[in-house]
Amino acid sequence: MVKQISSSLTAAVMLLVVILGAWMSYLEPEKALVWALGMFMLPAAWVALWLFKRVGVTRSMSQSDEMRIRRALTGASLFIAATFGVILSETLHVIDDTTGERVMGVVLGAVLVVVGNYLPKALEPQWCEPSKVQSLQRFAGWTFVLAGLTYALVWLIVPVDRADVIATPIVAAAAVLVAGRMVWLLATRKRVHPPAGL
Amino acid sequence: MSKVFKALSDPTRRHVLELLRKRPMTAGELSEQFDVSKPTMSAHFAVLREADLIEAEKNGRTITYRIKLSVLEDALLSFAKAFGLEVKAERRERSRKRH
Repeated sequence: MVKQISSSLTAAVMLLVVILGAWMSYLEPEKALVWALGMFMLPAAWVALWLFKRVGVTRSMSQSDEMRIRRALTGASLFIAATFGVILSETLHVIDDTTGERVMGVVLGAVLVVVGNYLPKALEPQWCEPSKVQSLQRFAGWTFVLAGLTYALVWLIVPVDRADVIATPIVAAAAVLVAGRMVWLLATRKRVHPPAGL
Repeated sequence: MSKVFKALSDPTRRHVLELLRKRPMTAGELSEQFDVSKPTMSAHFAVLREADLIEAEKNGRTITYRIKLSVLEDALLSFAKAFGLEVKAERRERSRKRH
């Protein structure tokens, strides 16, 4: 339920990514391109957004749209920071590979939970009867939240060599369920026409 | 988050959300379901909008409300419905009005 994210928070998270990425580049220079991509992709997107705003390309963008983009950039930066943090900890032998894999599994599960949680809140364009779209969004949200929680739990408690085999089909099944329901809805939809005179 | 708790603490507002869970409804359709005045209903809608739990769409003179619950808020609504939760502050406010 984070609605307001300040620019300084986004900048701080991106700075953390750059610091961690620079550290990894120093420790593993042969993978510098990978680290650089992780370090600069999102800051570049943010700079592009700022430039578009300056030249007026995104003049029609509302404040809430801008906040949504900033929230997405901050969330993605946090995910990259977590990934870099785990890899760095493994490289510095602060944690072993098994713990690293477990932490990444839990982080991925958490990402799925966060995305699933907000899914029903994202209002869809009227491509179908509103009640059915609403029902699909609710179904998708709950499915991804439960799949994310199960995914994280599996990575926490199941032996690492078997966790991937058990956890991945859970997420795949959730995606198939949601996609299946969406296809069924598209196949049986009644098109919604705007009211006359509008 | 406190706005969400405040919005979910009232049975009328919870009932509005329950109705909107089924399908988007106009302000008139929703008001018909309750034995309260229109200004009171408007106040309830305002609290729900403030908490970002519903979205209003104006079409001419008709306002259509659509539910906007995250999964967590959805679970909280079911929890509040099951246990009839009321925020302490709200109860205190009501008892103050009574006296």
